[in-house]
Amino acid sequence: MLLQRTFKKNYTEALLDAVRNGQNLDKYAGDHFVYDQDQVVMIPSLPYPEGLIDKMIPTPQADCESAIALYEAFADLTPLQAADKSFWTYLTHVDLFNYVQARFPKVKEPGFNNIMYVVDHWFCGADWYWRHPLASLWWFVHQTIDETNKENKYKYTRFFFSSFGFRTNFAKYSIARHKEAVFGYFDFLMENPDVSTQNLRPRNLFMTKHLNKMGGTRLLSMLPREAFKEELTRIKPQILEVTYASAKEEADEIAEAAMFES
Amino acid sequence: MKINNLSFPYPVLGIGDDVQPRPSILRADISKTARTFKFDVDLDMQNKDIAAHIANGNAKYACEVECSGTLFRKCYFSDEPHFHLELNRTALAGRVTFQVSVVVIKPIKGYYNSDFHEDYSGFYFDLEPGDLLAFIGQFNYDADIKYDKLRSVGSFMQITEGKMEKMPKFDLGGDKINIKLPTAMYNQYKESILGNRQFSTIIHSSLVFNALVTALLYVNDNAETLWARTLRYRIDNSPELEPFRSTLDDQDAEEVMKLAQELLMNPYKRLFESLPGILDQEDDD
Repeated sequence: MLLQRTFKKNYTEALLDAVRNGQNLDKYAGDHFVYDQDQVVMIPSLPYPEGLIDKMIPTPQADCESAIALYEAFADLTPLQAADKSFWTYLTHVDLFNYVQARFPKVKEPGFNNIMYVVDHWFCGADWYWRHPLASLWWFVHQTIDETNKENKYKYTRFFFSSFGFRTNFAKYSIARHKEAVFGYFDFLMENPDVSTQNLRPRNLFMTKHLNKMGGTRLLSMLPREAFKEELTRIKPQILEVTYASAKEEADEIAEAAMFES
Repeated sequence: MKINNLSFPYPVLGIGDDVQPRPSILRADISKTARTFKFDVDLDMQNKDIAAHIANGNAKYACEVECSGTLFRKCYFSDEPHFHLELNRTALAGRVTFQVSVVVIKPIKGYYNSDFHEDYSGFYFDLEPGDLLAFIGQFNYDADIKYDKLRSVGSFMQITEGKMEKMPKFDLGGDKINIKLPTAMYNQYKESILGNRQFSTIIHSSLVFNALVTALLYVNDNAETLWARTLRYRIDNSPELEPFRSTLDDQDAEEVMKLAQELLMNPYKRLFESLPGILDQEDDD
């Protein structure tokens, strides 16, 4: 059995350091990334997923399919391994270099010199769980897969990827770590398309804030998905009142109040 | 659920003086095996009415475990004031937070507690599953820290080759304080210095000491790094470092210098003690 490989930790840091110092940027435009093979180690018990690169489709529209392919390819990856920056850095630089380059092709533009573009897409920079081109896909599936639904375990995953707003406005909140909350939240949205077809971003923010407030007095992690769906159904009239305009109005009022407070 | 000076719409034991007597976590022992983390938590909760609700199945002790490193979040329940949790080591990374409470499991109509503060006298409350009856306390555990190697300098510092460096550089952004030596110096270090006990006192009192002082002065800019978390844990939990509990926050340069010397176990003294030996060896040569 061929085993998955990864970079040594110090090498990962050295590669990142080089990019941060403006070095090696041109290497990201090549057909493959030239790396030091002595700085690679095998991960015991994690099989190398042959053919994964062929299943990864480098378009935003296909992110969901790529995410599922990646998650299934690393079915035995533990959360501890998935929290390892060196693992993801190896994948972006070696096994899935061509996918990442095709998905984020600015590195091939003449005169490219955007350091943070490389840091964000080839390394684990700030907020990497939600921004890294591969790690984020894996963690998004991990947060939304419903193992209790044997026939359609990716039901919520597919819904999650249907709107980019969920990646930026939902996944990073603490509430999203409780799967039943995630499932109840998405059940509500799936059954109430009038909520999500427009003004999704401010409504999403309103709903997550509401659930967080609820978590101030109740232990959310013991509640089943039905409780979250029921609560959101209860406040649906309030949710529908939220629009981009009303959210801006509220933000302006808060800013004005803060100005007078000081 | 985060408890930070919250007020609830009904009295909760453990929040201010809403209900008495205050509960507490008596003991939180943590141990590791090759595959698991084991957490043993003992609680003290003497409120008779809440104990009765637990006994008749209306409420349970709850321990919510949350790990930001692996996005793990799970709630464990017990009918006794004790938790024995075994979590797979592959499930946790970085900081793990434990919040212990008593929660309602079945709806309680007209909740009243004979130990309510007198302000609540005569009031009754309808509670739903998930509502808190008591907040007992919280504690954290850092799954990344190597607790058995805390006193080893290697637990928070390393010397590596800095291929691009023209002079030594201290890199504070990684898991360890990284002293990066230019290639020629690093090769010299590897070939002639590493493993030589007499040279180690010189390295500790120069390169290592300077790197540590620099790191301590920038610790708050790197608070989430593993080296910073490791040092803070050691300072907060070692009796001999008790006088330095506020040093990292205060950033008093003189105290930082003293703390660095304590952490490296008096490197100057060790240097001076070793110098005669080094001179003797030179004479022998």
